[in-house]
Amino acid sequence: MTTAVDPGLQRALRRAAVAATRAPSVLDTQPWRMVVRRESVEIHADRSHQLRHLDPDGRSLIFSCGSALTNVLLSLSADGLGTHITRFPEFNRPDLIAAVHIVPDDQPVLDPLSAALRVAAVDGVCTTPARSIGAPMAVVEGGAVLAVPPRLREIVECIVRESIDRVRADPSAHAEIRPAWLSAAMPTQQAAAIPSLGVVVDDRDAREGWLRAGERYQLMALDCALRGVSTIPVLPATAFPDLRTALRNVLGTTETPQLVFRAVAALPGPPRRRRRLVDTLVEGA
Amino acid sequence: MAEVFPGESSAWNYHTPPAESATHAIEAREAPALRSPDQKLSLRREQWLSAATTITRDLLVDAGADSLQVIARTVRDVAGARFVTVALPTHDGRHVMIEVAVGAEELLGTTYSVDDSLAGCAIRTGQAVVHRAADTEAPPEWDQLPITQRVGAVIAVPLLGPDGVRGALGIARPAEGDDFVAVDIEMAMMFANHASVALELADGREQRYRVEILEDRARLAGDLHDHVIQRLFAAALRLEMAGDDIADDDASDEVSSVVTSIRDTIGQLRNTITGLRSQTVATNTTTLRRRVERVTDEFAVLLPHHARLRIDGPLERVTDRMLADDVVAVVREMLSNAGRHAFASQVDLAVVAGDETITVVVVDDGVGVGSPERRSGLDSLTRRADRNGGTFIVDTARPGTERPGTRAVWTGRIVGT
Repeated sequence: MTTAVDPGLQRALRRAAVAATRAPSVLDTQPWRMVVRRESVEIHADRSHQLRHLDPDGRSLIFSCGSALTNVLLSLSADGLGTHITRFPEFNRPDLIAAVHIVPDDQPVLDPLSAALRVAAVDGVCTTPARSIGAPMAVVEGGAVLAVPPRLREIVECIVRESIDRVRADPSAHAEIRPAWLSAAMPTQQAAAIPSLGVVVDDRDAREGWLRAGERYQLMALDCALRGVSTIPVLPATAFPDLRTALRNVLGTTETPQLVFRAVAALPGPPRRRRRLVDTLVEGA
Repeated sequence: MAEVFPGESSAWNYHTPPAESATHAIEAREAPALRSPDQKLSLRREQWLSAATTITRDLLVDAGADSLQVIARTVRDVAGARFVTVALPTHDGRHVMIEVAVGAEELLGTTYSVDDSLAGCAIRTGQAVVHRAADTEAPPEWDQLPITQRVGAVIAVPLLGPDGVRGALGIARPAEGDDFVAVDIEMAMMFANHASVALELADGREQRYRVEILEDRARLAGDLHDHVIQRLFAAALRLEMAGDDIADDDASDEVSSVVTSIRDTIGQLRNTITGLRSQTVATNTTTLRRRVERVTDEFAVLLPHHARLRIDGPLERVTDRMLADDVVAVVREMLSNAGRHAFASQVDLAVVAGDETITVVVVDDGVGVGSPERRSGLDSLTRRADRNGGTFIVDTARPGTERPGTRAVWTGRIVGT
């Protein structure tokens, strides 16, 4: 080593990268690779984990990377570090999704609440008892995460059901999804107990918009987790262009629906199976 | 790391458990205890054995949990350890990375040279490696812990799978704790072997679901190939022979056109089968063939008839992502032109890979290339051809007829030839 490397900084960056690998992803694809550098963490898309049939554009892939980016920011903010984020920093490297540089003199981008959020982010599951089920929707209202109002729920459920039927009818798409994910996407009695459907929207229906939508989704999901509510992304509903249009019309928004999710009372369970760190984390120069 | 651990004399850098001295040590130290040393050892042995028998069940029953976590937690409980890590070799083969760190989450994701760490040493040699509490310096992968979590005795035990060493368990006791004795090491090795087998089983189950689907596809492809095509082929041959004996010209023409259509069907079946096979081989990467097919499918709604697609030659030789993306974009653009502007009723699309070039040909029966709004699309096709060292030519398919149609031929050089 020729230049001195601040070990504290390295630890913080590595922690942030590990936290990023713990982020939720659409259908648990975990389609990313984190690179820890001297003063930055990079999030790269791992195309080998893209759902080629259900997600040919990489919409969900980039959305998932967005939630990983939120975890990076939370982790660094919790360590009191200021950051500078560049989304899609290099034109010629479309798979380099974001680079987060440490700016030592700056304030953290997210407030100290992030310390609590980081715990939830890294644990993956929330074991806090449900405090105020239903409240999360108040948090997500407005901005770019919409709660589906009760009168529209039946229609949105229809769209969800239609999307799942389509996946079932298409062997190639079906093969990309574990049966458990399809059943999780369907409404259950438990889910029906709380106002449970939400839609993440963004007006930029391109990779920037997908990424931002993922970032916001994860902030919202963590906030829900702290309140004892789990959110389950329902991918198929936004995987088909015509259903996206249908959702947009139903919700009466001009923005493009990026993800439908279901909120359910959090069930304590074992941590999810993660891809190995040796496959998702690299220490770069 | 070099300044912390100079040279070969590092205390942790030996591979054989210190059986004699360690056993003596524990006898001397534990003499005043209620249990006799023998009893204590046999109790430990028992705990290890029962942990080894339950680990398989735990790994197989609990589908959601991470097997490595389960292993590490079990070891921490049974070994009286404060920290347990699982280190795995990285893809370059020269490093190990801490994959699981029970009690020492701080270490997650840290990497060390294979030559310069306890875990690396265990992975390299396939032997247990011991570090005694009295040795002054902590092994490199442990010295990064905060000062309050200083470790004492550490052992690293290889996880031996059927294909060699999969990784290493690192088991550490606090600075004030006991050294590991021979029975600990022996038992840890036994446990690690057990856990490796369980790990294989658990990982295998994870793969099974996917494999079943792939096998299904492979079988389907095999059946189609073995039976359907041969029967069609035989039918076409018999028809052809019968057609030769028919005197009536009209009837004879009719028969030969049926033969042609059977041959076409065989060609399409072969395309399908190649598609099925390529999915079973490369599940993670969408082949260019699939992408072209998908784009063609997308345009089914725009065209009165589904475009007739012919794919020929080794498309898999197009490994360059940029070229593949361009080919897909070209197919899309050309189909879109035919569908939106040319009012074509029938579109034929061929994508042919040769030794040096890949060619995309689209022939439609539409109104021809006259209209100016089609120019911008054509410009972009020319640009895509230029940057791939190829050409783009548009002309009239059937000059002078009422529906002259368009023939567009795009080529690109396959990189690496």
